[in-house]
Amino acid sequence: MISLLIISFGITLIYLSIAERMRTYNTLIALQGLMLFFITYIELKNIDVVHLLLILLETLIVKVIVLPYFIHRLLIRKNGDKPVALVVPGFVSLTVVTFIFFMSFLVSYLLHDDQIQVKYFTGAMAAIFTGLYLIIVHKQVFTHMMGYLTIENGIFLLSLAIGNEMPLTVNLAVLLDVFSSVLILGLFINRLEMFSSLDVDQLKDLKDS
Amino acid sequence: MVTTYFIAAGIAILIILTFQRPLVSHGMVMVFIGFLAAMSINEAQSFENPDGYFFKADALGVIFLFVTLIISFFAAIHYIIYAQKRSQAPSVIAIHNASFVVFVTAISGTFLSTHIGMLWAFLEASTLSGAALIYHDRDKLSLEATWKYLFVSSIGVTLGFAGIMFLSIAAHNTPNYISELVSVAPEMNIGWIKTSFIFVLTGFSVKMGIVPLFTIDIDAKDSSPSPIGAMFSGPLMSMGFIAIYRFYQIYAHTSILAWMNSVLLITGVLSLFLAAVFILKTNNFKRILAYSSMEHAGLILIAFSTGVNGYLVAILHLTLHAFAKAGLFFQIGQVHRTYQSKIEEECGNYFKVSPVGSIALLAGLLAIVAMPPSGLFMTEFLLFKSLMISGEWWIVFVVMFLLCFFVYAIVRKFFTLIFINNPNAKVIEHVSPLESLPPLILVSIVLVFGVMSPDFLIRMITDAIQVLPK
Repeated sequence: MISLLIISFGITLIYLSIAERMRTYNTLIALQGLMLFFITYIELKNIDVVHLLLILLETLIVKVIVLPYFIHRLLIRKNGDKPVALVVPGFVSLTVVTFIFFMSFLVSYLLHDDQIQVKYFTGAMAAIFTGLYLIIVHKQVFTHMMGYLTIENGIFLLSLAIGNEMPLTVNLAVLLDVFSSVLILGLFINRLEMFSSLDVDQLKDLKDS
Repeated sequence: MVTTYFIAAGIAILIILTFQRPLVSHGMVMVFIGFLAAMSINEAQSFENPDGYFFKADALGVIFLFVTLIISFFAAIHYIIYAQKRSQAPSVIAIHNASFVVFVTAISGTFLSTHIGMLWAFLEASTLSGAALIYHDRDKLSLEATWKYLFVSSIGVTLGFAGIMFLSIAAHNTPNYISELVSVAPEMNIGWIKTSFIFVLTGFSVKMGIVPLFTIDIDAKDSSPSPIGAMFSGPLMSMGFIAIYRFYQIYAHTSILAWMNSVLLITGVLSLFLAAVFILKTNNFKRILAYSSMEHAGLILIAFSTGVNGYLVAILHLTLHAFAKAGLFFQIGQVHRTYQSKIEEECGNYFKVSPVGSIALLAGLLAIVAMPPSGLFMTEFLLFKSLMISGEWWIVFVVMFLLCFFVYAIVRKFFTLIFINNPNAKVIEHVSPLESLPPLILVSIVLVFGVMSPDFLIRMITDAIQVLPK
């Protein structure tokens, strides 16, 4: 079951690389959150109830419901479901993300470390590097934020791959930070309307001379 | 005491945001700084004793706590004048002051954290509150700087979190308390800890203002109010340093010590080189100061990379630089008010307009270009000495060569501001000489420390670096 969920998570990454509409990105990020919820539930149901509730709160409530709703309400409903300009052709992105996936698997497999679970580690590495790739090749702040959320999901999967349990207070602080950072990022994207478009090329007023 | 301090910070934020009156708001910031002072004194008296599950002050934490306390106090005073002169709306003042309290709490929390996860949470909290502080003026430039800071800093801190995960793999899930990690360090997998260190250095470079994520730090110091520029150049830089230092402290007990020093050396030299290139190009005084901070951050890393000879030098340099640069940021804020500009071509003849302010600027320049009697002269001299002892002669020449660019750029541009008559410079406001008192006090600390060796500080730093291998 977990393998199936990880593969589905991987498919969302590939789809993200060629998605063209803001709504599609938002749905894919919510879907990733849902998969992370099921993976966490299956993997961690033996840990104590408070920890489990906290992690489920992070995945199901924050990643699947609150953030996608917030992004939809603040950015998509207000500005319309605009198409996202693809700087790199979809075919190239598809090839790059597939290559990232292949390399992540190869590295995870070759590590031979008892400490990590290969399938989680592959998904995590692929998500982190796909997120970075999305940020590099896109010029719009919206897709940059989606890239950031993909990296966040990759880090979450990485923590599952390692299975190191943080104390409850630390988990709570991490959850609060991640939640508020995305909330504030969203708020600032909303303010960026004064730049007339959501293109990073508009953000070039700060310079040395 | 730490718990009381956090509760006090929470109550202060609540009161500031609820009442939104400037007097209450500024008053609460001062009360909060009073709590910070009490907590710092308490930690100094009982350091090495655990304070709760996640906090314990070591000598380094105590030094940086006091640096943060002094600079925060002056920043709070300067902000009162800043808000008054610009007739800021009560809500804007309230948001600034609440964010300021969160920012200072996050910075002080980082200095005291004994758990790597908690340290990370404070770093992220400083990003969020820092973004609100940069956005203070609510204009196009501050919005651009805020967006870039928030986004790149979030990415950086996330990469740092990946570094923590790699450390967990290497430590075979040992609880992430620094002391426990140090004890299992010799058994850690070399590949994982090298990867972890690279991720941590890259991610937290955003806080220290070094290569690779330095650009947003420059923009943030330029676009935020001057008191915040001072906070970014002093306490925040110390926060970035301590975040990297905690990992160094763990990994120094493994065989990658020499490799880490090489990485720090390369990062330091690259930071110095890029800062030298950009400082020549800019004509904006706040950006000149920001690039100068990057230069000093580079020097700190180079000093640290020399190992046992350079640890003390690096920490002393960081401490003294924080005071000097904060003083200069406060003073340049007054220059900005005088001319309503921070651009070289629109300012000039400042000595005639404000003799006291000019003396503060000149003393600050003396301090940051490391001319005697500046304390930074002493640390740079010791840096070169430790590089020579390590046999790194080519680094000595490269660093000396690059430092010439900084001295030239800073002195030429600031002398133009102070002494050259510029017909384009329009004096809009005369600032009271009393306002130059805090910059003079801060810069004097650096100059006095250059003449009289700060024995208590050196003793504390020596104590702090005992945890590192000889």
